[in-house]
Amino acid sequence: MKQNTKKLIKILILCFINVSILPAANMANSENNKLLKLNLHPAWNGFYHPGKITEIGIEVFSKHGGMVNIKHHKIKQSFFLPAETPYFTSFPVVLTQDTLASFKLTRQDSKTSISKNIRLKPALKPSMAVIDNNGSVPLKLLDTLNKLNIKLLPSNASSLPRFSKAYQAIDAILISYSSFKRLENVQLNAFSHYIAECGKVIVFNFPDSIRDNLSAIAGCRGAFFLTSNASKLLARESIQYWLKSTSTTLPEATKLNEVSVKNLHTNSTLLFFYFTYIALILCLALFKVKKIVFLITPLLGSIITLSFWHKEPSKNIISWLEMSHLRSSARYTSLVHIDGQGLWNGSIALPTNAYSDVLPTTKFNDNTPALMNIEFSTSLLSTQLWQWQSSQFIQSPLKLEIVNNSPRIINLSNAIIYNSLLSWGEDIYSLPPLSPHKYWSFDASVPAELNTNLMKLFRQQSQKYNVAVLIPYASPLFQHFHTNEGWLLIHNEPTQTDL
Amino acid sequence: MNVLRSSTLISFFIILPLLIWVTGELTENQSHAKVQYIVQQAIQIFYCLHLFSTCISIPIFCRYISFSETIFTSLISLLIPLPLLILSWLMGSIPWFSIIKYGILFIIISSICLFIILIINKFRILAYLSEGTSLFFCLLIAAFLLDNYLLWLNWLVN
Repeated sequence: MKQNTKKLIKILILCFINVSILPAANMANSENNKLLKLNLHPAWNGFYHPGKITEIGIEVFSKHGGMVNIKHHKIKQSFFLPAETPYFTSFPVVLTQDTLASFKLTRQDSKTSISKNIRLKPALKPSMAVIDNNGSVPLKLLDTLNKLNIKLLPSNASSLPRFSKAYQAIDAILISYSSFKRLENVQLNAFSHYIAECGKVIVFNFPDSIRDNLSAIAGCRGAFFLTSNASKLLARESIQYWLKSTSTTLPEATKLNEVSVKNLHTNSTLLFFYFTYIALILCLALFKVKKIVFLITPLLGSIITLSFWHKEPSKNIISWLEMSHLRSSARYTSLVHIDGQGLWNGSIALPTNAYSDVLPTTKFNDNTPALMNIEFSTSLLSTQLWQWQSSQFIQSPLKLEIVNNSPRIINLSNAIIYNSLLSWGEDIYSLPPLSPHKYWSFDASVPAELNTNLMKLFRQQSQKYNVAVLIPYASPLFQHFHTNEGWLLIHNEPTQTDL
Repeated sequence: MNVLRSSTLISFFIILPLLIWVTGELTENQSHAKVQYIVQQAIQIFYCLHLFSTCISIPIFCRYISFSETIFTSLISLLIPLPLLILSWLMGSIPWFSIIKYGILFIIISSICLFIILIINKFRILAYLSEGTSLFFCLLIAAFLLDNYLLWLNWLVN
């Protein structure tokens, strides 16, 4: 009887817990969720090109401040969320087949979370974003665009992406000055990158000064940068031709390979080791040596083999920029070269601005969406190469002039420029250190006789120009790389062939 | 000591031609995958020759040296190619486990050979023919290995 009473009491206690405490906990959880709001704003009205990068704007609001994580697939971003203040961030997203992008927001302290999905629409034909907040673009121009076989995506300035590569989701953009004025700095930066990378842009009603500034940074010699205003509307044929044209290929990758190859003679060292070891074994067999030597020698050989060849491969990035001093955008070729020194798996982080195509072995960095990880594995004698070619906006540190049939170089930067080379006529000269804001005039000095791969490449690349200067220059894209070797080639005349 | 030298020389004469062959392939600037494949082939040939020579040499060595010294000599002949096997692993031609598996297989084969010799010597079966008998049995093992080489090589390198 007593046992039955005890059982009854236990059941009653469990029922009490179930009825009172658990719902209370659930209520607290849902209360927390109510205090956490997550809104998703896709760029380009939710249209995207499969396999290309687009961007989702994330708006978060919470009554309580604290650290939060937001996650989409493998990408995770952590940030401090201020209390009762909307926080805005954005995510680059790559969708291939799945059209659903899901995000999960989690508070780090209470572990409460909220999830939200957004369905994007694959663009089946070329698309053009029309960024016009005030409706200043005349209907006639919009009509002309509508008649072309493209999808118009009307949008406002706030929806423009913060990552330049998110412009991959569209084929062209029309932007009015009233919308351009509303862009935030980070959006302006991405937009400048897009223009520098030969992005197709029509600017409408822009003041001459701003239009000229943008035209100066436009890549591909401004071939894809069009201007229009109320009095000068673009003809249908010219827009059609502009939409169809594509940028020509960038400098050949093989030329840059010559610079990057570090002659490590791995093959020769390996063969030398092979035969020395075998010769040593033969000597041991022929001469009277103690038994223990036969035991020690192979073990020593194994230790040397492991320590000499089983090293983590060094990763170095090489960037080569080329620009005319008349323009403010440079075309770059960058590559990562990894020589395998054993069996290793690793990853390197590259800025999302640095690559032009999404590789199958890449994924976004967990902590920083602006970086992308490339997974790789090496083995002895293996070599791996990744290459990027694009354009970027930079301030030219030098100005080249020809005064009295002689080159004159003016250092426009605030730093002394060392180790630069000048190509003038048939020869290449080493330049003295160039002080900030000072000029240097050519004084028939002795040509440089260095016979390095860099000299060969410079000679090759500068043949097309009357005068050219090569200076060490680390692209700001790869500042996180300690082993970034970079050069900037500035020439006085545009290339003969179309960029 | 002479036996130890003989064992070392046997390893030398097995490894050297294989090395010369691999060197020829390496200097022809082959693709990395091709070099990996060539080295893998060389290692497989080495496995066959090394095991075969072990089956022949152990009965002969046992005639001149003690049982324990024969074990030591066998161990040395296993250790001599070790740096080259490690290099093959670093090249990605064979998995590291292959080296261990080969070591175990080598010890098993050597032990069987030594066991046969031990039995024959202990029971004095045809005492005057003991060397020839043990060599015959060891050659039988070698023939068995040779007959099934695809099977155990596949197990070793994968």
